[in-house]
Amino acid sequence: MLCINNLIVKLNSFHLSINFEIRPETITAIIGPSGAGKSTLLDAISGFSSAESGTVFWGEKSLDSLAPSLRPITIVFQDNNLFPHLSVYQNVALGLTTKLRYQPKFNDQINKALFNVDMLNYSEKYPSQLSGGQKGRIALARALVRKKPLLLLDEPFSALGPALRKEMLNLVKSISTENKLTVLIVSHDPKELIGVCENVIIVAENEATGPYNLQNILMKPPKSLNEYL
Amino acid sequence: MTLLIFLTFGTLAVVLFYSHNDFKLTSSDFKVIKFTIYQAVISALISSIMGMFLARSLMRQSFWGKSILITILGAPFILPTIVAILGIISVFGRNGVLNNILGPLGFNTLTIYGLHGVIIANVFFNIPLVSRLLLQGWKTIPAEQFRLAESLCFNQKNIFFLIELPMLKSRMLGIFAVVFLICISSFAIALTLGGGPKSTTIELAIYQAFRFDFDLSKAANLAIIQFILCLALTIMVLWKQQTEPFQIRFDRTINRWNVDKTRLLDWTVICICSVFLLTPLVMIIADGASAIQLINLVILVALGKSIFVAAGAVIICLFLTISLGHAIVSSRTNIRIKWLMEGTGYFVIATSPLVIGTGLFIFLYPMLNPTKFVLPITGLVNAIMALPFSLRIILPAMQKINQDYGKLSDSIGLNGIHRFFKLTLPRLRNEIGFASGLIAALSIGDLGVVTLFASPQSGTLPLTIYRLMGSYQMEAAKAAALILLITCFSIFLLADKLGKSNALHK
Repeated sequence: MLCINNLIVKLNSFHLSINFEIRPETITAIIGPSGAGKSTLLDAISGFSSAESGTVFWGEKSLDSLAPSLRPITIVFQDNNLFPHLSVYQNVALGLTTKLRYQPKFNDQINKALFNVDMLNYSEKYPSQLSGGQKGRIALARALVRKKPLLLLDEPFSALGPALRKEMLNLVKSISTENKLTVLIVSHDPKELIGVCENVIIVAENEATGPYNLQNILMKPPKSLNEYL
Repeated sequence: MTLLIFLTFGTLAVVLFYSHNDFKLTSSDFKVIKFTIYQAVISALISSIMGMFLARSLMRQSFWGKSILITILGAPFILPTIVAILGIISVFGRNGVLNNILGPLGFNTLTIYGLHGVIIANVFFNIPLVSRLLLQGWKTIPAEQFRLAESLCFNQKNIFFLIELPMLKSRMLGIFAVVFLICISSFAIALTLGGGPKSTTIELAIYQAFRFDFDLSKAANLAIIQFILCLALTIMVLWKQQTEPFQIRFDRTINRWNVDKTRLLDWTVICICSVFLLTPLVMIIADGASAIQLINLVILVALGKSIFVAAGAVIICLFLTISLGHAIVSSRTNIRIKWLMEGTGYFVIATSPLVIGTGLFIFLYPMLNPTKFVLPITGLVNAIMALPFSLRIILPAMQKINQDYGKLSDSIGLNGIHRFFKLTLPRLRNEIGFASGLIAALSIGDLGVVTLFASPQSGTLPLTIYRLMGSYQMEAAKAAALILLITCFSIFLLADKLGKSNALHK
C-alpha cells in the first residue's frame, strides 16, 4: 500500500498538497492539466523534491528520510532514460550494480529482463541505434532487474505514435502483473488507459487526490477537469 | 580551489604587501601607463572596425573555401605569439616583403619596431577574434527577420539600422572591452616589437624592473596598476557578456536577396583581411622550411621542455576545471559559493601572468631559488591562465550532463567515483579533448612568465626563439618557429580528434 498523508510540496510560488492511498499491485493513472504538478507529484514520491510537511508510506515504512536510490521505487522519465555511451546490456546492468567491472553473475537476470521486453537480440546495440519504442523497452527492462515494487512512469511514451503507445502500455500491464508491481503512470490521454488501469489520481488546482474510477471520471468529469478533458 | 585563490588573489596580496610602503609613480611610469592605454585603444578600435566589416562581408557572401577561411580565422587564437610576430616581421620588417616591394618604388624604409609594430601585431591577433564573435552575433538574428525585411522592401540602410545595428550595439562594447583587455596584456608583443622609453607597456616595464634592475618594489607597484586596469575591464566584460557556447558552425550564409550592390566592397574587405592575416603565416612556413637545416639540439631540447610544460599545464588545468565544475554542478553546494567559484574561475582573466609571476617570485624568493623551478612554475601559471577558457568549454557540458542524467543516476544510485567514470568522463570526452588541445596549444606557445624566471641556458621553445631573434639569428628563429607552429597545431588537432573519435554513441 502506497499511502500519502497531507504531503505538501512547495516550489517557489507553486504548492501542491497530496492525499491518496493506492492498493498494491495495481496500475493507477495520474491525470491533470499541464503545469498542474503531475511531475512534481512523482518527484515528491521518488524523493527528488523534499516535502514541506507530511509523510509518504510504503506499507508500514516511511520513505521520507531515504535518498532516491534507496527508495523501493524505479522511475522512468520522459526521455534520457538511457546513457547514450553505454550499450543496451550495460544500461540494463546499471540497474543491478554501478561497479565498473563486468560481472558475469548478473548475466541471466539481464538476459531474462531483455527477453521479457522482447529485446534480447539488441543487447550489443547502443541507444542511438534504437527507435523510441525500443528505448522505452530497455528502460522497462532496467526497471525489471531492479526489482523495486513501485514503478513510476512519467509520460515515458509521449513521443511515440498512438499505436505504439498502446502497445507499450499493454507491455507495462503484462510485465507489472507478472512481476507484482505497483504502477503509477502519468498520462495526457486518459481514454488510452481504458483497459490498462481502473483508477486515476487527479492533479488539479494545487491538489492531488484520488483514486477515482477511470470510467466514471471520463463519463462525468469533475469541474476541475472539465476544460482539460 | 585554495590553490586557485592563492595564485590569483594571494600573489596579488604579496605584491600589495611588498609595495605599500613606497607606492609612488615616477614620470616614466606615467609615460608607460599612457603608452599602454594608447596602443590598446588604437589597436582595439582598428580591430573592432576591421573585424566588423570582415564579419559582415563573410555573412553576406558565400564562396568556395569560405569554411576553410573561417577555420583559419580561428587559428590566431592558438597561434604562438612569437611565431606570428616573426611572420609579421618578415612581412613588415626592414628586409620584409613590403619594404622589398615599396623600396624600389621610392618609398622610405618602414620600420616595424615601436608603436605601429605593436599595433599591427595586436590587430593581427584580434581581427579574427572580433569577426568570429560577431559572426556568432549575426547568427543569432533569426533568418525570418531578413525574410521579413525582404517582404517589407527594406533597403540596405533599413536592414542595417533596424536589424543589424541593435545586435551590434548589444555586443560591440563587450567585444571592444575584451580586445582592449587582450591588447593591454599582450606582453610578448611588447617584448619583441616594443621597448625603449617611447614604447614600453606596463607588463614590459614589470619585466624590465625585474630582469634588469631587480627592483622588486617597482615591479610590485606596476603589477598593482596592471591588475587594477585589467580588473576594471574584466568586470565590464563579464557584465556585458552573453553566455553562449564556445563553438558554433559558421558556414551557413543567411539567404539575402539584395546583396549585389555591395559585392565589390565585401570582396575588397575579404581580400585585404585574408592577405593581411595569411601572408605572415605563409612567410613563416616558407622561410622556416628553407632554413630547416638550422634546427639544432638546443632547439629540440627546448621543444621537449615546452611539451613537458604543456602536459603539466593540461593536467593541472583539467583537474582544476573538473573539480570546480563538479562543485558548481553539485546540488549540495550553496548557491553563493557556486557563484563565487564560477566568478573566481573567470576572474583569472583579470590577472596577468606577469603579475602572478611577480607575486610568486616575491613569495618564493626567501625560501628557494625560483629560477630552479622555472618549468613547473610556468606550467602552473599557464594552467591558471587557461582556466577561464577550459571552464567555459567544460562547465556547460557538465551542467547539461547533470540536467539530462542527474536524476536518472540518483534514482539508480550511480554515485561518487562510479558516476564520474561511467557517466561524467565518457560524456565529457569531446569537451575534454577540445579543452586539452586548447590548453596545450596556449601553454606551448606561451612567452610570459617564463621570461621572468628562466636562466640563460634554460627555457622553453618560445623563449629560445626570442633569444635567437635577439642575437640576430633570424633564419634559425624562423626554422624553430615553424617547428613550434607544427607542434602546436598537431597537438591541438590530435587532442580534439581523440575527443571526437567513437562518435557512434553520442
